[in-house]
Amino acid sequence: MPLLEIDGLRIYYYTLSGIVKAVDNVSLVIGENEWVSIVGESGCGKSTLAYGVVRLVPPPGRIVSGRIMFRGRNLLSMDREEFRSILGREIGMVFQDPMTSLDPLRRVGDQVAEMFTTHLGIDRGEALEKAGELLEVVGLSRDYINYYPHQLSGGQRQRISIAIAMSLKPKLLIADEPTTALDVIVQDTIMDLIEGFKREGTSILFITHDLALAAERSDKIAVMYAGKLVEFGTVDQVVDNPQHPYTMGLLHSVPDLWGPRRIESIPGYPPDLRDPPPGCRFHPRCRFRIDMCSREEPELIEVEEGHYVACWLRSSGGG
Amino acid sequence: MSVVVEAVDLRKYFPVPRSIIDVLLHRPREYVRAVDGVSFKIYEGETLALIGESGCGKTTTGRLLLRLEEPTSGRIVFMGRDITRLKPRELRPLRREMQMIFQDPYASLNPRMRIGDQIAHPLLIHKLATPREAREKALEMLKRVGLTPPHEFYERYPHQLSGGQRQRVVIARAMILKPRFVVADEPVSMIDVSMRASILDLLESFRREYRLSMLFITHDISIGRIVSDRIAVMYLGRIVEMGPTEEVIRNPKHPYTRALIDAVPSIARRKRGKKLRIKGEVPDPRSPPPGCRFHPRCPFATEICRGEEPDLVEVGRDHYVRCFHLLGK
Repeated sequence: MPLLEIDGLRIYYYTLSGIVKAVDNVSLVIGENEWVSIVGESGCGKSTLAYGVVRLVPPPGRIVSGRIMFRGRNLLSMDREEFRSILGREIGMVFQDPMTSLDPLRRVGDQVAEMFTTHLGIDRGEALEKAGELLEVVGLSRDYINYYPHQLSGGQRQRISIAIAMSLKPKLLIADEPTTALDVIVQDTIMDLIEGFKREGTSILFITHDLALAAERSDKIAVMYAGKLVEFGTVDQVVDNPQHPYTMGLLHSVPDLWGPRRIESIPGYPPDLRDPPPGCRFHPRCRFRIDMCSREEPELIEVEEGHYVACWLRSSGGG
Repeated sequence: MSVVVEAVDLRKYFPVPRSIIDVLLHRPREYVRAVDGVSFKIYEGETLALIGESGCGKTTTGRLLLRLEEPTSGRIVFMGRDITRLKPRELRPLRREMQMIFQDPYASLNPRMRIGDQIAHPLLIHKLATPREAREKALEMLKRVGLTPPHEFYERYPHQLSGGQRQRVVIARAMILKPRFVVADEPVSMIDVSMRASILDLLESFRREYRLSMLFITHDISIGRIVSDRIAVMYLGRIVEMGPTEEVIRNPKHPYTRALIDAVPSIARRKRGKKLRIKGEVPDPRSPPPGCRFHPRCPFATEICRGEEPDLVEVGRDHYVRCFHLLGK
């Protein structure tokens, strides 16, 4: 049984100017002890998807349909109490801006310790002791329990929010662009930290716009475009043998210090999700498009074991 | 080749605001040494990429060159002329020749002005065209930067454009005066990955056409590699390494440069093993460490690094490094 199984998930934003189909019929599976990264550009729905899994989609967004099975139970049909027992304890979450989850007015030690007092019912002294140990695990000294968030750097704050997310040893860590605001050297150390938790058995759902960052650390990559999952497979499958023209375009647009000294853009712009183009949503920017692409939407099909793509070029037989 | 811009031992110290208690206790005023003795030249038609992490002083350096910030000491020489102490009135004719492109294209455009008028505006300010001519030139420029049909785009407002399109407007506005020198401060950091190349290509085409010199400021050395002839790496207000782009990236001599390069994620070398990892984070620029500023984080630091600051010395053809323990020796 996979750890997390997202099935036919649709999340729409009901705005005054129309319905934004931010996540539109997305299915995805994350196994035990597996690192899956969702890669895409701004507005592709990758963050909305992550928020959907923890039922935190901000209004006017709403989960319209689909199932999210976590260890065999549908997160979307649970009542509030039941869901709260899972969030934090079995699923941890880290955001791009650590201040979304940290309280600026309380010492970080108390904030970490609160996870233990609330969920494990131990007393404050013991909880602070555990908080101190945890800070050492995330690469800070024990003394940081007395600091307030504003006394820390961005990287240190992100370490604290990772400590909170990982305090109860959840089975799944969801990380939404946790290093985007950080400098590259600090980013690397935060990635090492997350990788360390993965080695100890936690599965990771990592959201990023940076394909190279995903390629270095993940087991599998899911590429999203305009609310749709367009390609899914192991890192090697997706970056060495990309099947979707959008993935190919993305690979050519990422500068690589060890690759060619030239990058290429994908022509055109992503669509307005209130009024997406018919058929394949990428077809107006696609240089391989055929008639079919503007008429009908391609389904995700398996082109080799574990490698899925939604593109008519692959579905129509000859490929 | 002729030198277009030269920075000579530039320094900029920002005073740290003092609280009333600091004043009453006669605590000495503290300074952030944002730029602390930076020297380089940029030649005609050349792009120098200035690389560094946040707070290293790279943006301040760019602003100093354009006289958007007053240097604490040092000199700025533009086209052979010392412009360090020119008065605003004397600077005005030079403003045409030097332009800046900022990171956030939205913040650098006027939200209430049609984009065509914003592109035409510099021509009118500098009295280089009649309103009618300026309009014509702006239309040409819109076409040139790929915002077509130009008549339609002329009438639009910034909020009606995407981030990439706005950055094209910013570039058009900077280029309409045919400057000699441009400071581009993280011009693609806020642009989606799939559209970055087209913005960089646009800058490159102007560089060729106008024999433009450029200071390209970025935190991303992989972007810097694509656009530049030479790279300068800054750390805590100082240049620690400078040289031809591929030479610095393939053969870094300063441990900080090496750590920066190793930390950049790469698809081509995603399975690479050993990285040079450094400890901690950039120290407080109010009190930079004595000796080599990098020594507290440097895995190779020895006694001399703690006591003495190394000079920027030439270690290879046009390749300068500020370190006592050069890598690869």
